Amino acid sequence: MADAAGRVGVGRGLALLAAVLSFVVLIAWPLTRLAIEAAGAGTAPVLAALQPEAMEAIGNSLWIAAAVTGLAVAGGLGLALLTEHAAVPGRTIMIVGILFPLLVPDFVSALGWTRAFGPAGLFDRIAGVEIPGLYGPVGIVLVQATGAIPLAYLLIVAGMRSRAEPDLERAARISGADGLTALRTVSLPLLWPVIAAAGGLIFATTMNAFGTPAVLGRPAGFATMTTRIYGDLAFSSSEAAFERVLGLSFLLVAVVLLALAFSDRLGPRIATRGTITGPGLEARPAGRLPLAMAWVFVVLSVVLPLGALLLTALTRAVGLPPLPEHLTLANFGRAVDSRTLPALLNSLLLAGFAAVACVTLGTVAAIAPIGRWRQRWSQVVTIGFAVPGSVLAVGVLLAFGRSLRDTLLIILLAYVAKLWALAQRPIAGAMDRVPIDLSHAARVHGADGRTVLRTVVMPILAPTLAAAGLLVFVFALHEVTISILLYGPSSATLAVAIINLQQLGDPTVTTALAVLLTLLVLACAVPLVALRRSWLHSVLG
Amino acid sequence: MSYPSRGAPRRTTSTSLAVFAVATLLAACSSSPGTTSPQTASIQPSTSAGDPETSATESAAALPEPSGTVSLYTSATQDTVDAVLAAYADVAPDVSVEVFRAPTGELDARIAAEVREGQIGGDVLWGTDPLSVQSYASQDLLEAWTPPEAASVPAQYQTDTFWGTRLLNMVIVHGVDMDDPPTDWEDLTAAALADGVAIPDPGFAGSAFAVLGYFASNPDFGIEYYQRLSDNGATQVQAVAEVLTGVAEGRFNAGMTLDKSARDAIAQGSPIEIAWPASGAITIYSPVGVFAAAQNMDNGKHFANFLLTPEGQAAIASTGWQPVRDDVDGPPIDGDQVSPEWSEIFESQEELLDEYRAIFGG
Amino acid sequence: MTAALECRALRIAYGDTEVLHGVDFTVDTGESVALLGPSGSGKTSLLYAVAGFLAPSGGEILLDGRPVSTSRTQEPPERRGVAMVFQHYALWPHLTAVETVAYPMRRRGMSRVEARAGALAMLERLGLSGLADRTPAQLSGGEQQRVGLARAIAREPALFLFDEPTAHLDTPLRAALQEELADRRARSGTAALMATHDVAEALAFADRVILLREGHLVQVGTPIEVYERPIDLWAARLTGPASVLDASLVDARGANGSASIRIGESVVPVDGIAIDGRAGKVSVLVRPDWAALGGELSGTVTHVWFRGPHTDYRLATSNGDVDIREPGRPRVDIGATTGWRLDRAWLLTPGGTSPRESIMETGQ
Repeated sequence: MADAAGRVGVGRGLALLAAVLSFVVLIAWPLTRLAIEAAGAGTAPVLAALQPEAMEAIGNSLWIAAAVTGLAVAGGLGLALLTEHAAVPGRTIMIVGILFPLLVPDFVSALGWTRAFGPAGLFDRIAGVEIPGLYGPVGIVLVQATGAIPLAYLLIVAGMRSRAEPDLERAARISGADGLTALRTVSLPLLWPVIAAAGGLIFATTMNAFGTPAVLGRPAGFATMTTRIYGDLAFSSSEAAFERVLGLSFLLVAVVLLALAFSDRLGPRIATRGTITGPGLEARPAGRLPLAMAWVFVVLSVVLPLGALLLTALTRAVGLPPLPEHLTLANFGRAVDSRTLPALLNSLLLAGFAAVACVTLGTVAAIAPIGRWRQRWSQVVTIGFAVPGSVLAVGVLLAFGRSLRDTLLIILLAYVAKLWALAQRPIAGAMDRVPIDLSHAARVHGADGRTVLRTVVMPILAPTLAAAGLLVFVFALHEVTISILLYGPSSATLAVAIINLQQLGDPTVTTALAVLLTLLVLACAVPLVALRRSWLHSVLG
Repeated sequence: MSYPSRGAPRRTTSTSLAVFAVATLLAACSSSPGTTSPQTASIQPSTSAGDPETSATESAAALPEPSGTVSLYTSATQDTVDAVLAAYADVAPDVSVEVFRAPTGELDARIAAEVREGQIGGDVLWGTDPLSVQSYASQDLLEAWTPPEAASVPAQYQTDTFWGTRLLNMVIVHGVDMDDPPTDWEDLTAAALADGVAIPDPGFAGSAFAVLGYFASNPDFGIEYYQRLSDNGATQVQAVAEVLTGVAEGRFNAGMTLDKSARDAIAQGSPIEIAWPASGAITIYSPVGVFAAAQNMDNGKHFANFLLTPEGQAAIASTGWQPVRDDVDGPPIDGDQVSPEWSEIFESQEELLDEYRAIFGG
Repeated sequence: MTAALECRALRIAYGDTEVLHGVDFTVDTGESVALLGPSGSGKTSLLYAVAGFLAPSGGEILLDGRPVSTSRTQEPPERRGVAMVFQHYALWPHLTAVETVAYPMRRRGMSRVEARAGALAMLERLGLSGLADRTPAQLSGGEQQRVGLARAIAREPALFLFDEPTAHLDTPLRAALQEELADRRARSGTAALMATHDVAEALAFADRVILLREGHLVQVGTPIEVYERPIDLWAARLTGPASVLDASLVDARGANGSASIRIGESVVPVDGIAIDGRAGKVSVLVRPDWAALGGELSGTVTHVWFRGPHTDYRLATSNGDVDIREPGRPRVDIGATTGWRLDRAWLLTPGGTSPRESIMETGQ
């Protein structure tokens, strides 16, 4: 790569400038503003973060995130091996079922779980069965792991497909390894970088999650870093509370960055020269047990919670059994008032622009830096992702409030600062896998650097860019903690509408809106899948 | 090997610039309140000074006839805000009200950030409980003045900088099919309701914190009351509304919740009942004040005063809240109402919350 | 004697597309067989079916007389006791050379220590001990493939499968590796099946060569047979440089069983399949070493290729273009008219055979 770096032109310089500038404006400046506030307090934030209660919350966050990461990666890996390596009847339906929770906002899925499996939930009513400890750490881990499995699955499958070298597994089999041994000794070690990257991202996301710990943790008196930060932020006109917020937030950032640096080190990049050859590994019929487990997962994590939500949304009042005489569509009507549509439009606009901006920045930042910085960029940018949304929103308000208060742009800035890393990581990873020979071939046949990018690099990256954009879009669409602090009269988002409805205390209406939102996202996704059956696969890379 | 260096990836850079250009456009389209933009002002024709209908609201006429914009920061529920705005449009058709509505925690976080940034975007602050509003008053962020309607507000709901608008009554709620329903706060700690009581989390809900203050400062209960609740297996849930949902679904047998929310749910058909505590519902007043740095000071005062007028009070009452004025009809009040000494609690907020967390965790 | 490998009516299909249309052949114990065919002829698929990487759509595969692939059962690759050297090496990027070679030993149940010692000894024997601790990324293509070969040998298989093992190597490396493959294989005495499109590789390596065309077996024979007695023009072109000349058949199968053709003024002995009863105009195959410069026939030199040890000439003659190989540097210039002679020829089957015609053993 040294020779490629050696002939950086003006364009690459500009890209570098754009990436650095964007980082400074979007992430560094808001965090610096926060740090300036903290600096006035001297060591107080540090001491505040080391209080026993805070330490307990840190401990809780760490083990919850570790457990969620372990479960989600194991589940995502298992499902990925099943759908990629075995002949699964109804494979497309299964993949859609696995990925579906990605399209459901986390505050909705937590609600769905309590409605389905909680005390007085659907299962409890029908069969007297509930998941013990759903309210509490067990439930937090379970719900978050279920939500993270699709993400792990998506990243691992994309990784599997980008380095599809079935000959390596064949070589193991013919050397005497049975299927499991080949998996253990060859397939998994090769996937390790992908698994580590997925684990790092899920760990960071879970450390940052607020909705599920708040809904399921509070009743058990179980605090995490994010719920404590949120609690203190509400009292942040008090200096002491604000110092605790900053202390815990910066500690959270440090922990997440450490975890990501660790996961990046766990997965050293393994160079290969082999190209995809021969027919793919012949899919063997899936074992009955894994197949059954996968379908049970899909049913338990998708069908039941969503079914319970739908029943709630259709019930006239909360607490009534879902009998025909109590069913109504009125909640949907109440959910869609004059505010919902503009809010939806704002959310779609924000999510769309955030996706485009993050993918653009991710691409620019993946092209621009050279040498070792190529990898480090991903880590640096992750700072924005590691800050809890509400704290980042305060930082953005401090940094840009004066000129951009109440605009969509200020929300967009915060979204991009938060979600940049989500696009940067996969794009940088994919960029590393584009063989330099292909660019050389284009250059030697008369393409200048820009043309190479347009005609060679971009088409190869296209599936990754699409996947990264989709991820950012979905995260932005479901975002609640940032926009509730930053919205103005004409920039309310769907999240604001949902929170306002929630406060009215009628979960049937909130649930109706959540169901509508989910159906909307699904309605957008289904034609894409139907129109081009290969779409799913191209998104997966 | 050397390639011509011209024509490196400039395209991507220009694309990112384009994104920002479009985004800036996006920002320009959404009008920014707080600052009186000419756009917003010109939407409303300002020629209704002689409207005969304003005679009905003589009291409001004591302030200059308003026009332009006013920015409202509030944590009042959406339906109440809507009803008040509709009523206000009759009184001040030339004023466009821009609302930032969020739960108390988010509202306070935003105001705190704006104070640090140097400029509060709102003109009027309409909170849920006196404690959070008191904290702004103590930082001199609220304007000291006397609304013309203040005289009609009971004295215990008045300060120099904010005034009560509505009363939130924390009551007991239980399932309809309950054999021996609780009648007072102490019943919630009885063995009959072991593991069956839900309380809202004071760390999240302003009203729940006010209630914590009441119990802790009342020698009949004290913070030990929460210890007894906890020993009896009571569960803290995030929001007041969740108590209601939990009881309606049968997850809990009884709990503490606000009378308005409970009445709304019953009207919808939820299988719950209200038990007005024998020792009195704990009454919290929802105050309104005007920011000292308000950019639309006159409009802000006009709007704040409107909430205290019979029309404003009627609008509030129409959504089920008890109006603060005695001369405006409100929902049924089925028993005594008690309140803590707010100023005392204000001094000890952090300690109270710490004591509470030591019992219920979080 | 049981064959190391026997394929019976073997068919392979990908979905609706059949790529192997029912082939029968055997590889005897200790024998090396080359599958020669252009890309797309089904060589790799056949190898993969033998290895157990894919299930045939029909037919049976027997290893040492043991059915490993039938319509009812498919034995997994690890239980077939075969080893493979892959076209793209298929070295595991996360393992060093010694770990790679130890891998099949570990799978046979050797302890970690034993396997490592065994692998080091193997690398030593193959002259690769210097590479023991390198990962594939640190190895050249030739080195990678030699490690791949070491891995295959370490498997101690009953049958080697070589899938175009030298296709991606530079010419000198290629020759060296071909020699080594043949040498190692011969010394191990293990049967081998090699898929290749390189005729030199096939002829040098194999005891027998199988010509494969679009999923059909075209011809099976010793290297000499397939070179000298190709079943048709397609086989002739696949197995080496080939010129086709017009001639007239004289004296077809006389009393002494010989035949000859007349070309110009020369009468040349000819052999072929089914000569009996043929007469008149025929096409004959001429390999470059079957003709020589200087002689009573006349032609015009149109091309001269200097190849180092020898020189190739193309002559335009009244019977068609003929390629001639002579030792040494070029002796005549382009455009010159020169004499030449024909020593022998092979009578081509009229019209050639289509791939679907039944195959014919040309062995005698």
